[in-house]
Amino acid sequence: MSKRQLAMVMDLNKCIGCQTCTVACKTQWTNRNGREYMYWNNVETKPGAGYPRKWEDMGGGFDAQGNLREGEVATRADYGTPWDYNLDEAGRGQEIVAQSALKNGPNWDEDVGAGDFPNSYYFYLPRICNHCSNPGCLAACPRQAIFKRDQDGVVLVDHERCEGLRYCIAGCPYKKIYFNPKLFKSEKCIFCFPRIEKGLPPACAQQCVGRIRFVGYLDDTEGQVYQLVHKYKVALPLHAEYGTVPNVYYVPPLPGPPKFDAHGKPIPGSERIPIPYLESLFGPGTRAALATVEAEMAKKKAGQPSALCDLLIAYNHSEMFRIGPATATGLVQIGRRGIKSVAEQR
Amino acid sequence: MRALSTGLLLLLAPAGASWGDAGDARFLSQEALVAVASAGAVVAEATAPVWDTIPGNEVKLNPQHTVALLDRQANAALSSSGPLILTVRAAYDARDLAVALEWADGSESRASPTDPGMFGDTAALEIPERFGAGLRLPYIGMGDAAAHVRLSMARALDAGTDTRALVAAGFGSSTRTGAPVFRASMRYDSKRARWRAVFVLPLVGEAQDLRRGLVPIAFAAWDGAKNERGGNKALSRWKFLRLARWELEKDYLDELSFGYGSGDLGDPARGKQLVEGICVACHRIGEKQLAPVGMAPELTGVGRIAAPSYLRSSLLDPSEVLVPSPNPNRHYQVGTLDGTGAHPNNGAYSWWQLDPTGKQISKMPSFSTMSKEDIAAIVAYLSSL
Repeated sequence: MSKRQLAMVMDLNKCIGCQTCTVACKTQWTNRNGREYMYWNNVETKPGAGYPRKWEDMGGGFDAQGNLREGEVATRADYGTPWDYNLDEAGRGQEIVAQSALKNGPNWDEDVGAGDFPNSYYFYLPRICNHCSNPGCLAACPRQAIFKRDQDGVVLVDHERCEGLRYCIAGCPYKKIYFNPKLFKSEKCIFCFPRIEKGLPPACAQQCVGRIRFVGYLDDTEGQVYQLVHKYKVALPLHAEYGTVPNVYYVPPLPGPPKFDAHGKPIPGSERIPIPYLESLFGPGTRAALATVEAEMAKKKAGQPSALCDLLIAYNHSEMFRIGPATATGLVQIGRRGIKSVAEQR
Repeated sequence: MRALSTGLLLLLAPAGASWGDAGDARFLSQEALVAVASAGAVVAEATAPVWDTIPGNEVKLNPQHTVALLDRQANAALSSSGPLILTVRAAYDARDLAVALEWADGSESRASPTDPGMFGDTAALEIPERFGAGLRLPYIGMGDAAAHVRLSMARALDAGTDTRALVAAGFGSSTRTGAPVFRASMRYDSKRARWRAVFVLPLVGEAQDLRRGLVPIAFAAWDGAKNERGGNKALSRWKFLRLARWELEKDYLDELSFGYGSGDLGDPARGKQLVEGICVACHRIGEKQLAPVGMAPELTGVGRIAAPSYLRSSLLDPSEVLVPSPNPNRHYQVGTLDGTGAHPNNGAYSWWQLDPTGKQISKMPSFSTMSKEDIAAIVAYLSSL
């Protein structure tokens, strides 16, 4: 659908859930003008309901025959309404209280996870738009207002054609496209394309303190993204079964320290994070990916070289981000797929 | 509009025997809506008491089934939706045409600048850009490439009404024409649980001249509580405002009244047999759900929105009115990937193709070789749906 495809790899073994990516994105793009509730980048705790709440149950994407599936439009209750505190009064000695009932929010079940102590578990899952090769949002729009840029496959909304119908939100199985009720337009993660055009990575990747994010073109065989996805096959798409061919890939988390038995003794070889749960997210390649990472880590521990471990350690931003030189800027360059307006045809 | 002219029901039925036949009369009695000539200026305020004094015409709006959309809640509501009865009142003065629409709605839904999940109740008028003898009607669903429509839309907001003037050439094509040239207001009567929306359009607009004896007009309404917006809506068939200040054009009436005369339509039982033997391979129709979703326009309830003349011409010359395909990316080819890993679109779901000269033609074959009787039978059956 596009000529090239930019992609991102996130190494979940290194994500500490600090939300620096979230803040980098929010301050850059979504802290104003009807976007206040939106998190183009969020970090959710898995297992968990996520953001918007229970997004994995809301449908969208494609069925096994390649037909777009029904989906739901998330409501304000699903996202959680931003709330304020009485900070002015609190400054005068009053107790800090929320100014509205707290029922849900963007990171409502942070660190809750699953399992019973002492065998409970969780991990963090940072999420942005997957800039899918077959985007559900793009397919769902009756006005064909959503398009993929030819040069990098970034999925964007043409605001001249968007009329705020919100079928895109039903069509995206990741719920990573949002409705701006103030502007009456849909909006989404733009992969920081103005930064990409300057040869810079998206803000979320640049600011990541854990250096978990790699950015590059999927056809750049020298790039680390290509190597993680295609050479080592340790980076896997999230919910590939949704059928949209997502372009954000994850190194799945290792199953963690062993579980404890009833006497508090570690059970050798036990999996704290159940592999079937990880497979439900990252698909049938999960076991092989984990085995590769564990084997390479063992090599490194034994003092042997491991190119994969060196890559995952992420020494240099210059190697992690292979975006290429600055390119022509501006939406006029994007060759949008939007249909001609009637006025243009006349 | 205080000084309403009283001779309202002028010329609904043809006056002289030289005028038309029984089909014309039947067409007018079923499809024409009386517009009242007003000596004073018409008013755009939905709260104005004068609207209660103008006789109403009942128009049935039916759920849009032609194109399947993907909103789960809206689709669930669609399966249980019956017709919506719209009361249409129309009046005109020397300069403007005013149309008031009234309908029952148990819930007042208004779009909110702070709630991404709210859909506002909405109403719209559709009028062809050009109409009259020799000009076929645009496709009922937002017009078509060869026959554009102008739309006047009013949507309930938290505060006030959002008005949009649009031009359209088929599904998904509507485009704003700039600042609305019409005025509109909406009012929800919570005691009676009814909306009233009033539109006031200039008789001579930027692209339209409505100073005619019969003005084609169609209506749509959206119930925000059912997630209705865009293609999830209830729509009418083409109706015709009767503006008695201008003459009825006999040629135009004759063209429009096909299907209303006693001899026009065939045997619906025979038509049912043919439709269920042939058409259902591509078209979903009511409980006949053999065809894949999206393979062709769904024909459930088609007789409530399509004129018999359109049904006939779509059988004889399916390319005369090209119904635009919905978004072609809705269906892709499994098992095939292009250079960047995308599945190519599945062209089997496109509703048109290119002929050898590069012209867009309908994928539906022409049935012009069928006998006249069978065509008339199919039109009769589809009209009854």
